[in-house]
Amino acid sequence: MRIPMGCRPVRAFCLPRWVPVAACVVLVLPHNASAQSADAIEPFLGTWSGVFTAQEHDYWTAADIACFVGCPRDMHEQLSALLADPVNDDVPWPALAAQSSQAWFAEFEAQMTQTGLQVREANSPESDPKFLNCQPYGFVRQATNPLPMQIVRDGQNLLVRYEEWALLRPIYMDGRDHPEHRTHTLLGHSIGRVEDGVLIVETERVTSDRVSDETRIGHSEELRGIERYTVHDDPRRLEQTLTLEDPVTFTGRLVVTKTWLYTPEVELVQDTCFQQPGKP
Amino acid sequence: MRLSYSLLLFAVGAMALAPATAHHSPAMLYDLSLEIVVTGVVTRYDLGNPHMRIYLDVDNEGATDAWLAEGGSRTRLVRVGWTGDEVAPGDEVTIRGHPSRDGSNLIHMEYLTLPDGTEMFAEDIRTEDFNDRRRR
Repeated sequence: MRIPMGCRPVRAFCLPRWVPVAACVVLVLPHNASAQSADAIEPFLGTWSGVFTAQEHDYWTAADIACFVGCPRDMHEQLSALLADPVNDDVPWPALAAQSSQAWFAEFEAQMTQTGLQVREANSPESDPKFLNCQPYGFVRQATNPLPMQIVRDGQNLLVRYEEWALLRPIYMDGRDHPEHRTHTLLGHSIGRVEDGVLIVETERVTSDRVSDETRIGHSEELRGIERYTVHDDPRRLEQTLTLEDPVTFTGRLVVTKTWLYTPEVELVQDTCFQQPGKP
Repeated sequence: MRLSYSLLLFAVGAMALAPATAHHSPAMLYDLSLEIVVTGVVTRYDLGNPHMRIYLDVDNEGATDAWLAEGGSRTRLVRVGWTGDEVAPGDEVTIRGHPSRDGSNLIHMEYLTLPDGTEMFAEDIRTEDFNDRRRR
């Protein structure tokens, strides 16, 4: 630790020995905090891939396939337990996945408001123009999409480059708040910080959209998303937890998780989209 | 041109969740417990997001039915060597996959057989590759 100039121990006032040291620590702390803040971002930088892209890696199990666009942690754990049980060795894993997904649907079902239930009933794959046409997803499906993403610095902030739909998502790390007035957009407005090694990203001002194809659940423009990213090793990976709050649609919080492997060898492929005819 | 439906019942149980297959959940649109085979003439081919698509004219006892086959995600297929030139309008191809739930002329494409007889896996993940990945 470098001691700043003018911070030498002083004994003339008979101060206890620890006082000047403490003063020095106080003076030095802001500098260290600033440096930590910059370095705190470092672990999250790079290219991260889901099971689609990095499927040859032996880290993945069938449970990760079932959760390829994120799922509640309980579902992943339940499915992992079913897969590990020798009693189920002769049961095709997709059947076990279907069993676990029922718990997921039930969990979400219990947290729908009346409006949320109506929205879900109106949603079907065929009624989603994004399923058939060249229209990028909204924040929730984008943040948990199955294709790789690259997290890079953009000045003080972060920029997420999603291969999916070739979208760029800024995450403001410079301490700003959400703006008072801002038009709702597909990906919303995201602000982030690192606390105790966890990258926390809060997103608001999101255009209403769907949460997932599987559940058919939608969300309103009151949505608030809180993502927590934690880096783990062996293999190096990013554990993502996405918490969704939306008083219009949900009575509680919906939480989904997804794992991304660190894949520095993966280069993003340019996504291409065509305006295509609908189904025959 | 000919249409060949081979409805093969697979012992895969009720696959309500989209196992292993697509960008979106194919189980929402397709009956993953059934397999069909469709042979027809390509009218359009797009290796694009969110899914690769082949549009086909299929002969149905003298009438022509328009079909749409959806495969895997563009960037996954590009990574494993697809270029977008695999087929062209006028080619006769055979597609093996899952039928739509609502009876429309959609097929969730798993395998594409080219005019020269080459069969290509056209999805993102082979379900069977994960049969043994059950525990750590």
